[in-house]
Amino acid sequence: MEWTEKYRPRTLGDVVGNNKAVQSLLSWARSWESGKLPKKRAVILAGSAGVGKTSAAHALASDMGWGVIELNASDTRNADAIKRVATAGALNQTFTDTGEFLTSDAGGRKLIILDEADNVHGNIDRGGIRAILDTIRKTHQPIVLIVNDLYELTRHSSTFKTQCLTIKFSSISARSIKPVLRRISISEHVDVEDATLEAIAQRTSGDLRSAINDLQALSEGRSYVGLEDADAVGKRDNRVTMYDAIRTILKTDNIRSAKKAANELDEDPEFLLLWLSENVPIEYKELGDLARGMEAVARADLFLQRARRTQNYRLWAYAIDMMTGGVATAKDKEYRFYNRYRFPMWLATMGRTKGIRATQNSLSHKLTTHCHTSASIARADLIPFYRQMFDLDGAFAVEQTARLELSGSELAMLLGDDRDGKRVQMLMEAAEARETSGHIDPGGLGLAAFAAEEVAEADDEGAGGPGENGKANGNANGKANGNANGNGKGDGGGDGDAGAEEPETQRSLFEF
Amino acid sequence: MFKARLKGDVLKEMIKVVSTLVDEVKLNITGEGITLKAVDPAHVAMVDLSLNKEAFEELEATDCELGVDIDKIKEVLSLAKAGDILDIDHDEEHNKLVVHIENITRHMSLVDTMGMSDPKMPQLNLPANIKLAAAELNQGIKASESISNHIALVANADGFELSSQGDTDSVSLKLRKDLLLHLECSEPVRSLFSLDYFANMIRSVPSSGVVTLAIGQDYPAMMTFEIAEGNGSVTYLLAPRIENE
Repeated sequence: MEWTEKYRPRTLGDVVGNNKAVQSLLSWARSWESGKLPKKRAVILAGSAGVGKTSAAHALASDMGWGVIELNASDTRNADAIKRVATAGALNQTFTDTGEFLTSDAGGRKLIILDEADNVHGNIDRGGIRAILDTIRKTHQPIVLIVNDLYELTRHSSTFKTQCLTIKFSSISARSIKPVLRRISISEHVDVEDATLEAIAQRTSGDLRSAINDLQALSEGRSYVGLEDADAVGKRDNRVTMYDAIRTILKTDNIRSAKKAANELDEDPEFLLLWLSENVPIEYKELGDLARGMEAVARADLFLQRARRTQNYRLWAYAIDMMTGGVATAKDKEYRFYNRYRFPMWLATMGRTKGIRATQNSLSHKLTTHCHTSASIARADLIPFYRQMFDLDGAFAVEQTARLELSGSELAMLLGDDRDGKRVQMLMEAAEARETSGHIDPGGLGLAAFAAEEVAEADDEGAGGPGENGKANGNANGKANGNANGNGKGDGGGDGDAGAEEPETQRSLFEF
Repeated sequence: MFKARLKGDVLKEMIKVVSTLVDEVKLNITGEGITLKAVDPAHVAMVDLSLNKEAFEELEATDCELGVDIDKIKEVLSLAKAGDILDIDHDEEHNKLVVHIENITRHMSLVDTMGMSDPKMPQLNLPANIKLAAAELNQGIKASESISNHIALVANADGFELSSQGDTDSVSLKLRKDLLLHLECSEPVRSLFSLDYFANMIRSVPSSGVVTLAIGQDYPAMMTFEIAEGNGSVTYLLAPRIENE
């Protein structure tokens, strides 16, 4: 028999740790005794694994003399099953497991426990969540929802927050875990060294259930457990955060501890590499250190790329060695100061520009087919020209919009406008009109408006006579735009002198 | 050791009774027959069933407990035609239930009985006792189903009533004492029940069967009837809805 089951607390008094949470749970249970239904008929017990949420719920029921019905993650939990068990249980009086009849008039309740209620991709489907909410609204019996991740449950509906009392369970300190382990080892007649208990308690980091499981695994078939035996269990997969791993790698000069930090981190090496390349310059202030550190990062990057290209992931081992040991030993001296490490800018930027890049890709794809070029040429060379021409030539813009079937966001990108902007709207309408009539109607709504603005613009600028107007404007605009594009793309093409000197004064034709 | 030969129809009646409440059940087997007791997963209802030795064509058994999956038995029964005889025995070596129908043999894995509860039927003081044809109750259930999710069972010295109250409509089936097979009622009583449960229980009474119903004031209902042509008996208990809170 599993010790976690055998030594499960029978009463709330035996629940280890989380005294405040247990107290609030008990006072919620007392609110059911008044004979009137309490305002909050369900509680959510939230907290990480193995801290005693389920145990507390069962202990509560036994302290209150209540029956228990339980829906676990292992049971089917679609809408139907929830209605059949939880909802039916919530509305009717109770027979216990042993066949005793409990009536709510005499305080006899049944506690409905929904364990792992946040485990949605497990088997609570959409209808299941609705059935749970419905049960909470209608219930005449106390309900306990148990979750690891509170948000995973509450994101489905605000009702969980308004109708339920939320009680948080925190990790259990090693100091509290150790006496429990000792008590169990004594009643199991196993002699376990104090240091071993200490080691188990320490490394399970607040998870009492896995501490007890470890103790049982170590004690299986023995009467004595020494410290060296404890190593057999190995360290519980102890999630280290990225910040911790980065700190260890940058602060230590010991290759082994740097590698260990990376091993305990449950992340892709490519992700770790991004973090390192962001943060090595923050930590390594000495130029020599920085150069060697970034050299190691760069070497790691080579290995990672090769691993990815050849699908030979054994190369990861070298990449990881470079990232951890290579970076750690790059420094001549230790940096003792605390540094605030950053999330990789590159990733942040990529995340932010996702939409823009998607539009850019779809636009260049359309140009690729149209102009018979590669996507990179379309992106680097064609788009800047298209931008200029769209700015200058209304008829061209309308025709291309129609022919390439450009979307609102693609147009917005070419025009440098909002996708709901007036020019985008006008072009879309004009293109639409062209599609239906089969030719460009110069007197149509779109172009008439374009022409009017062109004149107004010319008057403002006062550049040259009316005859020269279009040309002059065209040149100025072309340069300014080319320049802006050039900067943005970093390809340097299309720079114009006028634009470079006075980019602020150059105004686009349709800016208003 | 368990070895039995019985009519498919007898097993069908038994499984119908049990499957309204549970998916798995522990059979207590002796040389004198089979008994089972179970509480449904919502802890709202109980069943107590016994099948005497006479219900079997042949029964040879020493005391044992077998955990069975009701759905699997149903699958096997779907192969049986009316009047078919089944041979069932327990293969102790592989811990399987072996069922033969005609030329089909099914080996069925058993369910671990460790986690299954052993409920006792509670002693309940139920002042009203009514005996009537299941067909009458079925009429009342049918009338109620379109109205509401619950049904009230009401009795006094003069008669028995099934009634259902919906948001806008209500319906009731009144049976005066002379229309009942038996009525005994020391005080007027009323209890409200989930219609789903009540309907499923009454539907598992063999057709043309007679039900004895015992009810109290806001208290569980007890239904007793016979199966296997009088060689078996069933007691259902159903907890009432919680009202007035």
